[in-house]
Amino acid sequence: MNAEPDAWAPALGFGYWRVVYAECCDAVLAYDRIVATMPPGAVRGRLLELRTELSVRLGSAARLAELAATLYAAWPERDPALLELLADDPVKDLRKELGTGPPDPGLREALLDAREELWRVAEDAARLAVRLRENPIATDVPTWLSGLATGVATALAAGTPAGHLEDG
Amino acid sequence: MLELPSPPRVRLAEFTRRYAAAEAMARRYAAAVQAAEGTPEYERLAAEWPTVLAMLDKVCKACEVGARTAARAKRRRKGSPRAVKLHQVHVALVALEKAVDAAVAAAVIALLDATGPTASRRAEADEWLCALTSALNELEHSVVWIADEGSDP
Repeated sequence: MNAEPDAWAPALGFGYWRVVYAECCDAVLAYDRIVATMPPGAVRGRLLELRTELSVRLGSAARLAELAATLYAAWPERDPALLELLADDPVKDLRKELGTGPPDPGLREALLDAREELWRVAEDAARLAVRLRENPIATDVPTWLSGLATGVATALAAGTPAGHLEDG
Repeated sequence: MLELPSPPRVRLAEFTRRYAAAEAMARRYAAAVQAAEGTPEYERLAAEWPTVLAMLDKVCKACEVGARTAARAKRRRKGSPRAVKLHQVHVALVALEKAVDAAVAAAVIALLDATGPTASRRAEADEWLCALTSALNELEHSVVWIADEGSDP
């Protein structure tokens, strides 16, 4: 997984984590479509610059999703095969000895945060594009752009796990 | 690093799935250790890996003994030697799952702690590492018990 994450070709997989990561990709795709609708110019150029940083955030989301899929494969449940065995115990139902699901001290939350941040950036870009379309000579564009850049910076500052899985 | 014991060579019959479940847990533990690489918790998690492997080996032997016992005891009734062996292996699986849960939780906290902007959660990670040690002790006792019983022909 050394290649740059590509929102147009998400990693293969299935299940809960795949869906959340796909939603992260959707946010980046939405951003790309918004930028594509904008007329050439300085604003569009700046949005294209910020797109590179979104790829970095998408990459960290991909690593989180891969890690989660490895550590919590049957989320939010435990491995159904294990539960079936424990339920079949001849003495007592041992499923009760385990909690309802595996404990997650924040991995899911970190991935959901990434998704939310990416969507916030895409929505800000959409608002900026609409504003420019409605008023091509708007004077507050720098403020909007600055807000968008801040959103991207916030997304990048959030958890960015090192590429442990890349080494595996 | 992932050096799982050789799978059993004898036919385990209904114990095959039990051994497969234990092996899957060991793989999950290994993934947690790998995820924690570069964090302060890595050393402690990696230090317990040989214990996890030893436990997996003992569960394997317990499954072999169980399969032999079950082959002799045809009837599926409560309290039969077969039922006792199944229960013992299941208890070991529960303990191993708890140990792996604790390792995964400690690894996740360590990873997020090392890379995120949030305040340090070392104390929470320590609690999970203590839970790991405790679960491994529990597991060790349960499999020693099985192995002692299983040493008879």
